[in-house]
Amino acid sequence: MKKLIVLVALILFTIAGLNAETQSGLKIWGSNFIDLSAYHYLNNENDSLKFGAMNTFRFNFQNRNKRYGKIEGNFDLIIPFGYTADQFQDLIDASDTLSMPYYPLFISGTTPALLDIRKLYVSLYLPFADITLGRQIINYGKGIVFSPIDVFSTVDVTNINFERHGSDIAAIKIPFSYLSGFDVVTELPRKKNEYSTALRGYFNTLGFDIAINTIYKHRSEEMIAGLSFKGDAFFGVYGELVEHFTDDYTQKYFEGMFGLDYSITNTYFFTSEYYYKNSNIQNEWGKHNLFLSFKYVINDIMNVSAHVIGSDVGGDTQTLMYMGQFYYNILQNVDVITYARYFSYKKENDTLPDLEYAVRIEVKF
Amino acid sequence: MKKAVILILILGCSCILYGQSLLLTGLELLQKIDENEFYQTIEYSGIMTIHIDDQVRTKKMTAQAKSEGHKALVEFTNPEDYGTKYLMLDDELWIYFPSEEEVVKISGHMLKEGMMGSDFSYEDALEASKISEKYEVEIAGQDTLNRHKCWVLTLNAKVKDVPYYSRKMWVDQELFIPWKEEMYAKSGRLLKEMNVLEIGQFGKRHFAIKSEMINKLRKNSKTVFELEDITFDVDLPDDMFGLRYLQH
Repeated sequence: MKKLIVLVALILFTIAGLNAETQSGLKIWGSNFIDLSAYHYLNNENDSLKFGAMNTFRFNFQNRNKRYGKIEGNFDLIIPFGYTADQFQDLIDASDTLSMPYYPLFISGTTPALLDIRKLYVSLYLPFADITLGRQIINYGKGIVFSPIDVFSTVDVTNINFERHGSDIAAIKIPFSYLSGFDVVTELPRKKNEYSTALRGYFNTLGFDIAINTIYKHRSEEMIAGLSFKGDAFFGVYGELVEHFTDDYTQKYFEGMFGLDYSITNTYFFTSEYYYKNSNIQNEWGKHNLFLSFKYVINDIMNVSAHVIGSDVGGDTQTLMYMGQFYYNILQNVDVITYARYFSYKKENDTLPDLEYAVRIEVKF
Repeated sequence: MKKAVILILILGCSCILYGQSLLLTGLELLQKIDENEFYQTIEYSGIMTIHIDDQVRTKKMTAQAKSEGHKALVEFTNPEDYGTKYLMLDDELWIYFPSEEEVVKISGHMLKEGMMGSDFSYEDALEASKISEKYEVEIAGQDTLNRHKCWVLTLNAKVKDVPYYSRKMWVDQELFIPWKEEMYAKSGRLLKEMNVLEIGQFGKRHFAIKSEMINKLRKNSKTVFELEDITFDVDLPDDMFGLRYLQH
């Protein structure tokens, strides 16, 4: 496996190097970032502070000439150290590796190396449709954090940039006009795990992007019908309305998300999302959920931001995450992000720390 | 007395006619500027050098734009923003972030904000419309700017759909290209200052290929925008200005 990765990387770099200044061949770009973290467990007086680090090498490639199609890859090679490695090891031990977004490559002592293939797909652009096969990020939702309509590539709220993981899919996208079209996306069947198929029609009217989705979850035999929108009404307004039909359509429940965003003089940015789930089905979200975000742009290379994510706010089992960030683009291709997170939770079996202080240094190439 | 009245009448008529001729000349000047600056379609590579305090950031891009329908597509090619695309259709704007395969519709008022952190707004960088159709003009005088003899024009908006309420332009008397421009808000506040650093010739057309924009609302900030590989009136298919192409 290791030799194969080295060989593939070598071939890609060679092709890219040969075609560096042309409009053909592969374009390669990416970044390397390291997170240095301190985890603070307030209730564990004897061993309250733990330290960890995580190096992520992000590698992207795609063909330059995209006239007839696209081949794209996006890989994260993650090497955690210290307590961060212990957390990943717990995750590997507790999970069926096939259902994880990360592939453990090799384990040396307590240091696992993990590969997250976020994208690896081929698209063919025909005059009437685009056909895609492979691992792709399917981003149907309008929400930054809450998106009940996103069943393929859900948001990872533990990621400081709220990134998504890829899904293995086949898709056909048929355009009707410049701003309207119809998509069919299906996840490739996986043993034991859920997989879904979605039909989506989208259009633009009165300055609003509107999409109508129908999703079928094969294992649970659940039908989901939804509508999403985003547009301008003084504030930026967006939302998702979703109805679930289960148990041979005898049971149904509703999910809704409504979001507002606004900026003042391109300096102060406000975002809020409220997500309501009218169901007792246990997943990471409760009945009432809230996301609030504020960003102050000091200048275009420096900003500070604060985010709050709350689930079942005010309830007995509430979960809250507060995150403060300072972003500094210190050089053309170097970012430094310092962040602190506070996790307030009342659920059992939760291994999250109470506080996390961290710095990320990212170099892009 | 009779002679004096005739003299006053002649002088009065002359002043009116002189004023009218200036107004006509002003309009003609704007039309001459439009002949240089207005295009049906354009395709170029661009380099934006953003100066913030003592720091410099560079963004590279390719752009295609069409005046009909105010359509523009920009793709960033520098490693930090590689594959990020902007689609502008009239007063609507979408941004595509390749990392998350995310298409975000941006509020209309953001068109006036800086593109990718620069001092150029989306409208400054991408909009193509005839200035003579949107502004009333007065010739305020003449000036010499960097050894170039210029007409100084004062422009006031005659339609609502304009990025700036009023402008002051220093227009080259031979090339009919503004070397300097000041953009004002309705309140009279100076918003931006643009200086053309280099002019290129494309057939009969003269076009600014390097210019700097200073946003007076930002401290210690300016952006130099340099255009390369410019092609005018190239055939751009309409379907490239759509959501499908944005995600390619």
